Amino acid sequence: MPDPIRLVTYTALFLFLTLTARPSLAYSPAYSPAQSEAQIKPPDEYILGGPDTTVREGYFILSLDNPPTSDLTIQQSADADFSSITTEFNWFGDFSATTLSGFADGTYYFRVNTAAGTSNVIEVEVLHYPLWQAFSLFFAGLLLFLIVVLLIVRMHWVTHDRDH
Amino acid sequence: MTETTEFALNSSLGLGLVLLFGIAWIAFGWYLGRANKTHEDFALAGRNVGLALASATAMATWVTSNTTLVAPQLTYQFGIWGMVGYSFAALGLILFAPLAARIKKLMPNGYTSGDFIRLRYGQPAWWAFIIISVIYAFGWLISLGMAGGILLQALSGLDYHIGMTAILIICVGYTLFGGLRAVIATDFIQALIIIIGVVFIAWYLIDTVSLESIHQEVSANHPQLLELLFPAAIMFLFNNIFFGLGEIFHSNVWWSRALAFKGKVAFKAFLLGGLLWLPIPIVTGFIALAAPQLGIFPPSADMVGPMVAAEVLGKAGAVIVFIVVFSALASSLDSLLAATSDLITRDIYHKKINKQASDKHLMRFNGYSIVGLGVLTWLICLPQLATLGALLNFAGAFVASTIFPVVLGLYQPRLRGGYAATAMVVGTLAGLAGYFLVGFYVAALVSCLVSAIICAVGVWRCRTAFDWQQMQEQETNT
Repeated sequence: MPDPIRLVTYTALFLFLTLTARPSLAYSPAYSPAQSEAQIKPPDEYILGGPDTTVREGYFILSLDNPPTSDLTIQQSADADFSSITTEFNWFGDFSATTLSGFADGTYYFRVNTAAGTSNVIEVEVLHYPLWQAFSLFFAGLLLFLIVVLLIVRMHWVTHDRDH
Repeated sequence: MTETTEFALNSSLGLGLVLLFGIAWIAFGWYLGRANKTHEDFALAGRNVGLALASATAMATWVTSNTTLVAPQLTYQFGIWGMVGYSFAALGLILFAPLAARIKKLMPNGYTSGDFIRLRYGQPAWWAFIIISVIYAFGWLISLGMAGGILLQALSGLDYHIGMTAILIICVGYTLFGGLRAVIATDFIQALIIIIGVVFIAWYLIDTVSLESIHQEVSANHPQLLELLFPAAIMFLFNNIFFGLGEIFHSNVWWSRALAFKGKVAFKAFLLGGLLWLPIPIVTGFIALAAPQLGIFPPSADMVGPMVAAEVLGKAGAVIVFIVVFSALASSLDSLLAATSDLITRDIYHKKINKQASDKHLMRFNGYSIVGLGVLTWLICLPQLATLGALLNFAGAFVASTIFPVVLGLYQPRLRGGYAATAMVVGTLAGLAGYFLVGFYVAALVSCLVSAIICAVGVWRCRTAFDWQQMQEQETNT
């Protein structure tokens, strides 16, 4: 074991230096806590991104090319022209991505909306795995699990009886 | 940025809490570590851990980033099945109870799971096992380090790297000073904090955001989360169970506990620990279902739990969430550091490199291993390459291949080393093929299935029985 006093000193110094150091990103304009209205990015400059392939699990990530600098929402519609907006989601904080989940089979359209306008529209297609595939794996797993349980219980009792 | 920054804690408070906890845990570890006189004291807490501490450490170690961050993540992704399915991971602890009793019976003076594989199956199987163990240990260590960074970032907006660095330094510090004795003692306190904190958060959440409103929002805009016939979730269910079984059955984290527990405590401790653990993912997972109602859509699904709790409970709640999740992470990280460093010291250094090493020398090497593991984990955590769930499910392909070799190895004398080694290697490769060709939800299942078939052939073909007396090994160190 290293010398405890020396180790405590080094650990305390390392903690102090590491934890008081601010990452360089914290000093970049995007993270500045006091931004003026003039610095707020126009909505048409946001480029919304989404999954490239068909979504099989009902959840996916939407992303922005840059972290948002003001409040914005994601609008969802069943039509590419957004003739009716199904629902809106708040974009959380200044993160550049948001995860949406719980979508049933279907085609969904999303765009970013701010006080000044809307962004590009992206299309997300959700198609869950077929149930036969899900149940095949489920029952294969169930069978294997029962084998493990029966094996452990039986062998435990056999050795337990033998030992006593 | 005035409107969009909605972190529950400011960065200074986040840092303050980290420093406070860091100093408290390291001091406690140093205090407990004064009783460690031999390597056995350091690695196995003198083999004298009673039922209360044993049950608490079993439960607390299994409450980890898996339960506090990944259970909400899976609920957010898979809905009801995500949280119910995750709670089935308790079966790993419950089914390990009889195995732990058997381990204690077969190897009363053993040190590690690697010892068992080496003595029971020989060198080829030991190599396969040790590679799987090390890969898994790093996967888990990295996920825990990442979880520390994610936690602080979600609650206070503090840079990921600072949170990740802090939790690694703290856990390395007190594990280094106190060994398994400190790990188990801190686990006991952390278990109490986790149970009280989780129950409080869930109660407050239900009281504040009604069940009706959560149900209404999820049914309208996220219907699949309440769907019982959710294909991906159904596929995930047994895969998760086999992943949990593989994690516990093979890992030295659990073997070192089984060997450290006093007398016949092991069976009861793991059974009780499993039963105590069972409802925790349900509670932590439920928190995620409230996210849509609260307008919280996290950047990464593994951040949903802390973000919802902090939103509902405000600043005081965020402090509670921080303490609970930090305790959960620390209780697992310390255990993993201790168990993996034991494996490196005992199985690799002592048995392969320096067989004549003295007890004092081994104790010192164990300390260096803890620091080395911490530094390596820190380096790998820096780029934050994957989400927690993805990282953990990748490891499933490795650990599930060890389930049958470990279970049969403990009870069935007719499984020989060649078949055990083949089962682990081919099972892992099959699991990885499943992971890349089909998806993460089949990796552990395929791995376990292939390994089981090879083991069954091995038992069927073998005509000679293993002599259990070979498990008793004479120590060479002084």
